[in-house]
Amino acid sequence: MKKKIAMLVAMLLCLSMALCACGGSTGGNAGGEATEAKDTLVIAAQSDVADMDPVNGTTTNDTIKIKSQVYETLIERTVPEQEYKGLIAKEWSFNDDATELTIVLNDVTCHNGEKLTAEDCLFSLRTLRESANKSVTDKMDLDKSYAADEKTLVIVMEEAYMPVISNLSFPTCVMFSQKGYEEGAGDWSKMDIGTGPYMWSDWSIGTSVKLVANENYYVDGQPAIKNVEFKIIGEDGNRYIEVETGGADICYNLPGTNIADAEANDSIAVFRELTMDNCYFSFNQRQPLFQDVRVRQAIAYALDIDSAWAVCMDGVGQPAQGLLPANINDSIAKKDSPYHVDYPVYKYNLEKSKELLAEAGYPDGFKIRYHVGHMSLRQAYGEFFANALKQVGIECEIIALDAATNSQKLKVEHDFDVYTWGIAATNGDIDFANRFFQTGSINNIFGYSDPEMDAMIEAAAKEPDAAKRSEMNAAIQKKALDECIIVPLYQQEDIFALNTSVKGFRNGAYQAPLLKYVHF
Amino acid sequence: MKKSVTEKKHTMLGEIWRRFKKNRQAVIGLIVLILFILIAVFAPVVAPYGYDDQDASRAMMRPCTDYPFGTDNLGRDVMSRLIYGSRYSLSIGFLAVGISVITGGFLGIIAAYYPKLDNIIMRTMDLFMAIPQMLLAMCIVSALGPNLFNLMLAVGLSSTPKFARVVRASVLSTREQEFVEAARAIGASNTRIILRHIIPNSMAPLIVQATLAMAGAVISASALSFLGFGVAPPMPEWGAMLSAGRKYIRQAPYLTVIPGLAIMAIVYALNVVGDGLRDCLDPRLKK
Repeated sequence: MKKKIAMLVAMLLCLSMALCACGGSTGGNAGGEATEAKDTLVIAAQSDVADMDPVNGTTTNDTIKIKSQVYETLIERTVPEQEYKGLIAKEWSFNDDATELTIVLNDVTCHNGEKLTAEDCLFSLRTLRESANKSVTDKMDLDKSYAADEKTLVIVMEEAYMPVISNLSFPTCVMFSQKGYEEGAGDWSKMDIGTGPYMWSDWSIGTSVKLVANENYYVDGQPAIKNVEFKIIGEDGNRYIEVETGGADICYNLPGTNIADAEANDSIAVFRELTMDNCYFSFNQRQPLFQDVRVRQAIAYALDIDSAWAVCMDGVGQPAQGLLPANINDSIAKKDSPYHVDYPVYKYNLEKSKELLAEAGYPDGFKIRYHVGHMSLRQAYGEFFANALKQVGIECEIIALDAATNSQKLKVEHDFDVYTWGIAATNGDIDFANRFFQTGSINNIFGYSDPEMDAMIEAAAKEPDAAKRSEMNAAIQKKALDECIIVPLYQQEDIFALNTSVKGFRNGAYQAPLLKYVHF
Repeated sequence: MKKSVTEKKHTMLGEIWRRFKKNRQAVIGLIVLILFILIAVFAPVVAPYGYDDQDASRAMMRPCTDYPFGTDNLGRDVMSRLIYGSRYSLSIGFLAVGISVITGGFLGIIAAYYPKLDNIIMRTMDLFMAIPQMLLAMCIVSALGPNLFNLMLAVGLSSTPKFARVVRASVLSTREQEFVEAARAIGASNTRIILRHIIPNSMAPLIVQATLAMAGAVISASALSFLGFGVAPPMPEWGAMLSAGRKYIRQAPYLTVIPGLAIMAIVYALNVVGDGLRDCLDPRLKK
């Protein structure tokens, strides 16, 4: 009797599993039908949009991928050319001493039907100045800035500051309708006052974000597709499977382990683009141990960057090419730069590492804590390097904390020995990366401080002459490499899997694809 | 007097064993469990390689004669890691349950024996029961920081209320028994009554609950490690191994399947042993 019941239960279980499997495939077909109708682009995205606030909200790459479809900036930076092009701005010019920036606007209508005026732009910038992302408005004197007429905005600068153009292309520097903002009392979840090619349609938290085309977009023929749906799928493998089974047209953040599968699949194309950030390894230079440049160099010699990349990255990105990625203007990692320096400067050499340690007074090594954070990738690097450092006598205790605690330990409490983190020219201008090495900067996690370096960074930011500025930027990078302030490890890469029916796919700055160009 | 007590104990244990071994599944479970314990204790002898011996030249090898369970992305032998990992999984299982037995047991006894405290303690326990166990464990780990001890503490503390309930119920029925009354009549102190009379006589449900909870603890610990709240790398905790191998599931399924099977085996063993113990400790099933 018992056996019979057990059999029955087992059969029921099998049946329910089979039914579940059917359910799954039906879902896939439904997605497939949507693409056949060809007016909805379905995207499998890694994480949700978090909020609808472009100014004060979350600014991770994943949220910007969605928000930048709804909100637009005055200027855009093109990828991979790294050139600045007008978006809302038709054209712009500096006065002679670069203290005034005059911007002429395109004929743009906001999602709430209001015309976007120079006054609106000024209001948008002033709202940004009061936000958590106020650094974007650095050196702009917004009280003195004014609207010369309805379509002409004049931004007065406190002093000449070349990175202002890249700041105006920063994703939080969006333009919106002042009237709409005041009517909505600043609650972004209740208002749609942006100017982007798409408008908010529906958002079910943690499941999907739906956008609908902005009929009044100022460029004719854009956007080509009427609806966009972001399906939120956190699990890497499942996101790719969604494209493979036809449930989505595009997969964002394709994991390295799926690249080979995607390339082998005739109905899937892979789009790859190197990003502008390096992941680096560094030391807490507030400690006397790491103030000794020989100790820093010794550790750098023990890190085999190429092998670590081959082992940990599954073919994504590339081993670091220099202090900063080569695709940043003025990076000395560029092969054709007159200031080019070969990297790694401290090529993997355990003997040399031991020699330097002995010279610095640590022939038997020491014990350190290594904060790797929560990302499995950085943890894998941590495990790899801990093993390498053991060979020169350095014992590493790997500490893997969740993102918030890790950030608190590194950025606020400075309670760490060595760690991995990212360095980037986030706004596209090398000045942003330079300031990682400035005394007291929020990104100066490693606690490096040198008045000479500070002066070099300030001078480079003020230099209007491009050639001179390049030279100054090169000197900063060389100094950082010589003093081994950080050890760059790898350069990240954006990888997308696309159904071959998706045409016109283009990546934008901040790893946010420009969906207005996409068509079937 | 003393002699007869020990004699009685012997026969009682013998009786339990006699009944336990009738249950074939439970015996198999016990054998598997003992096997795992031996492997954990003698890990350095049994494991062919160290758990952190990296060799990039042998990364991602499929199971073969040299590496029966294959190697992972850093070129470490999965079998050796699994063997060392049994130390973590087992010690987490035992110690976490130890923590909940001690804390839950203590609270349960106090609540049952001192009616004035009953309400306060049990309502507090109810409050904890209202929070999902996994969530509570995650909160404890994130507050204290992820490491092996905190993981045990989190798993242990989060299942404390269950133990408090079981022990309280069992003590409540025991304290009404005549031998407790008798002890009180001859003037025994509360401590003596609790330690000598109540605890030994309310052990059975506790033992059963503990064995079953151990299985739950292994799963919870694996789940927490899977989510990154567990032990730090490169320690080869099974849940963490499963999590690390997850992204290679299409290329190298053995990286997830093998730790998964190991977790399954030990949880299964603990469950059937627990069931077996319950069957032979339950007075109602006496033949």
